[in-house]
Amino acid sequence: MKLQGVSVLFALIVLPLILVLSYYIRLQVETINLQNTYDAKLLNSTRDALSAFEINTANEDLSTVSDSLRTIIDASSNVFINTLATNLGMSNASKSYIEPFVPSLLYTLYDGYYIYAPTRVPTVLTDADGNAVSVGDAGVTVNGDYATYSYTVAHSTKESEDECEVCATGGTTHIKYADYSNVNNYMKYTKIEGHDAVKYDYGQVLYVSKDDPNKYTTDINEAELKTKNVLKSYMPYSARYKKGTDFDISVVYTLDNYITIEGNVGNVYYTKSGYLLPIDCYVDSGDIVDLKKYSQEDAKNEVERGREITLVLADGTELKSGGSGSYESISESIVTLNTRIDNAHYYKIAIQVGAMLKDADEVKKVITDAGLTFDTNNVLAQLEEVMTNSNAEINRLQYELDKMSAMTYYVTGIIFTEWVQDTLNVVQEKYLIEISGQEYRTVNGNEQLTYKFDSDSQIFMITGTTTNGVTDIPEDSVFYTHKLNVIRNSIQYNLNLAMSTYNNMTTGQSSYAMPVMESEEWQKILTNPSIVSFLQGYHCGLKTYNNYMIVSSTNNEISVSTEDVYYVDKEKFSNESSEYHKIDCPKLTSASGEYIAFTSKEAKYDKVYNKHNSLLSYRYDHKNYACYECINDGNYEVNNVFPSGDATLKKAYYIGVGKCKNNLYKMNAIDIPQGYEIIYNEDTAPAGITRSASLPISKIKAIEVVVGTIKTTNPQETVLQYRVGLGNAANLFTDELYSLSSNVVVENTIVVRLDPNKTASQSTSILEGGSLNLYFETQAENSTAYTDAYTGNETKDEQNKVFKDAIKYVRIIYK
Amino acid sequence: MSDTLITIVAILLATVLMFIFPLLSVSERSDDISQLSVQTATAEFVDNSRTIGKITMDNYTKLVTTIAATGNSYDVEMEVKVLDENIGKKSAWTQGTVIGENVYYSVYTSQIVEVLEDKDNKYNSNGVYKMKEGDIFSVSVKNTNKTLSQTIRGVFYSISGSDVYTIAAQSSGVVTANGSY
Repeated sequence: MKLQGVSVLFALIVLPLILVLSYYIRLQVETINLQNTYDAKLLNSTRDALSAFEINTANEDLSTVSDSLRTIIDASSNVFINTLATNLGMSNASKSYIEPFVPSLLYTLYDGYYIYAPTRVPTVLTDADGNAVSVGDAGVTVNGDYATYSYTVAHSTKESEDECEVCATGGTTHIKYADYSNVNNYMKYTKIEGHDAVKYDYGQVLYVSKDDPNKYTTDINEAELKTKNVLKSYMPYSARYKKGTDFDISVVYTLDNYITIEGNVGNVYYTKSGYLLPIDCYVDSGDIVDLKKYSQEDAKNEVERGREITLVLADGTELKSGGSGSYESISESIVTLNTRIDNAHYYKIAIQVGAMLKDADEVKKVITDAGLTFDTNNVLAQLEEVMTNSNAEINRLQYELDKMSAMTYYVTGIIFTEWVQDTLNVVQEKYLIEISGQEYRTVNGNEQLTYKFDSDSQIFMITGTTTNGVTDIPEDSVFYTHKLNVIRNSIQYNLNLAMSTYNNMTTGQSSYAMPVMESEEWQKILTNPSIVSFLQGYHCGLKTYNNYMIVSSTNNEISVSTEDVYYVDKEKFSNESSEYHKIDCPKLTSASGEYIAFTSKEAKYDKVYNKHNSLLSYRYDHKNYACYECINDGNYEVNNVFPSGDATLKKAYYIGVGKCKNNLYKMNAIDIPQGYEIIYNEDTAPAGITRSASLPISKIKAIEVVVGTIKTTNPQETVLQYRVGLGNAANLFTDELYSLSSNVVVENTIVVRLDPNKTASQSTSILEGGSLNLYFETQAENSTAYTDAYTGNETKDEQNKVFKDAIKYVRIIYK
Repeated sequence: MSDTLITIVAILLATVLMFIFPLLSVSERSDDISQLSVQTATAEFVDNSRTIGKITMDNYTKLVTTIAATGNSYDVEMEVKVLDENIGKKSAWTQGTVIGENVYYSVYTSQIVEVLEDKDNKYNSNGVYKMKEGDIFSVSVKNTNKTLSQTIRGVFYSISGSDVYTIAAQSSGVVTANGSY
């Protein structure tokens, strides 16, 4: 063969190969590029969903309330699907096309999470207005099989119920029409005559039958199912620990150091919530020693009533609060001052634009109320002065509130942590039995487990570690690690369940499964409220697109991150001519050494809406500008506040963080943290009170005594008065005398509050050794009281026995 | 005489067909694969940085190492468009219907790398350049050397200009979280 021939042959063989290879590689490149653009689109849609969530929580007063939060999340998930559809080149009307490719959306919030996932739901029969139709509603008729129903739209032409008798003919038995013209009769149910078998269906919602779309059924198993994306119920980050009869408690964790505990420890049932603080973060002296005698609630009241309190932290920073009135009165003053500013500003604008004021006296009142002498020639300047002075006063008062909030955070945190360490030191990781209500067992089989909860680690025995001058619970502590494992396990289980259920429901070519997420990603999800979106099975060039995106929120109302707390000089708070900063910004200074702190969300979504003010319906109360170095840019020469920096800045940090955390609304919080123990129940132990309280008197907040009816033979004796006492101990109560109404059928509950200042040194239990028996002594001479079971005479001894006989329950309430 | 000429032409053609064309084709595919790798690494770097709200030295090094593994040298250009929050901020007492405008100012590679390296320990950055929610981060990567395919092509025809590249990747997006150390 000639050389030319060889060349041609070579070209014939190699050229197609090269062409095919290059085409294939180009397709691969395009696929990867497409995948990258899908990644970006998924991420952008997730971010949009998060922005919707942030804006809605910021602008909705009740956003932290669970029902309201649910609607916000519903809206956010809609935004996600719509944006994704738009990003993928479809109109958002095509969202039903894209929905099947989203096997789930995960919203991790402060103390729990939501999963938005497709679920097979029965198709509910609805009327023209979209309302569910039930058996008994106008237009519903039962079929001859007495198992299914028919539905025709009810006409309002039927004048009376008699006319509807016509319906009960023709082989099927009809439910009588209600008189549709009369609103009072609308929806009036009448029974199906002669057919007992179906009359029990009354009021039940009707579903479209899976066998015949024109028939309806009340049996959910016979209903036609369709796929619908629904927001599943809220799952708290909770775990249950149990060890025989020693303890059985449920703990709800949060993204930070706040926990809620409910359950029994020994005989006492506790409901408590609070911040876990490293117990060595403060110096145990002075006011704190005194406040620790109180319950969390009482200590909070002590702080908020304005008591002067000093707290020294581990690094020597001294925090003070109180001395300027109560929290409530200061808050009211701020409201008054804000109204004054609004009015002054309103009148100032009105005068400037030459509007006619209906009542000039109102202007005068605004000025004189602010303590100025009204000057008709100088009204505008005076109104300006009112605004300036009021602003300055608001800032002063706000700082007082901040100090109180911060003190509440530390004081209640310390009391709570001491209780936790005292009571729950027996709780070890291996006693975990449930996670988010789901039974948990460590299976040592082939199944890959994220974490085995089988160690002896005491979860709640936390100690602080001082890093860079700040004493805090270390990130790698048993508490945090355990908490993350619990939350991760819970989310993994439920997300996996949601996705595999969806996978089983679908019959398409794609299969849906939960991807394995890396530890770093979990860390991100569990540090701030986040959204994790999944897109699976979507066609993407040569392959199928499967990916997920995580977006975390740093500007929201439901969590506080210490890094996103901003500070401003107290004197310049909400002043347009000054800037707010981060704590370590060198530009953050204050002549007074006092700073007001707020979260990034407050600055970003700063707007207070007042619908009653038509001229100035929006007010902004964080008017400072963002610092160009620390807030806008974020990369600056930092001022090392810790460990040896400016003491006033350290103080500002502690107040700021404490205040922001304390003011956070917690959905799962227990309003009044306390413990209960029933030591006497007449029904179960009629013989009398023989059990003593499990814990010493110093830990008791109050004793609740429920008293049954005490009658009197003398009808004039309508009130019975008793003095309460504890054996031969000195008076330990806040009140000694209690009154009861006689001859009433209802049970009376007497709450005997113990004075923490008097009980602090009492280490014995009630009823212990007989010397501390609880007794009630009648105060009336010759009382005629008696009970049905015990009729004593009128001597005091006998009358005391009458009271004792009337006792039904005795419950100890612990701090 | 004419046979000899045809033979020489045939040898030349055969050389082009049997050696240069396959080499050119293979080197171009190699560039395609490099392009693929660079594009993926860039997108990953940008998406990762904007979801965590920070550019880290680790991620930056990872990007540089990954693209260097393709055997070419690259110019990596980064740009952060910093959102000026104050322009969007509604000043006091204005009507609520006014929606803030977004204004950005840009920070470029050298400034970002200066913070990442933090040679004078000025920023205490620990190899982190922080961004905030709303900023825009973009990265553009281009090869600076001549790849084999470019060299071979250069034999036949030359493309003038200094900014000639065959491997280029770009990625950008809005930052979704406030960065922290």
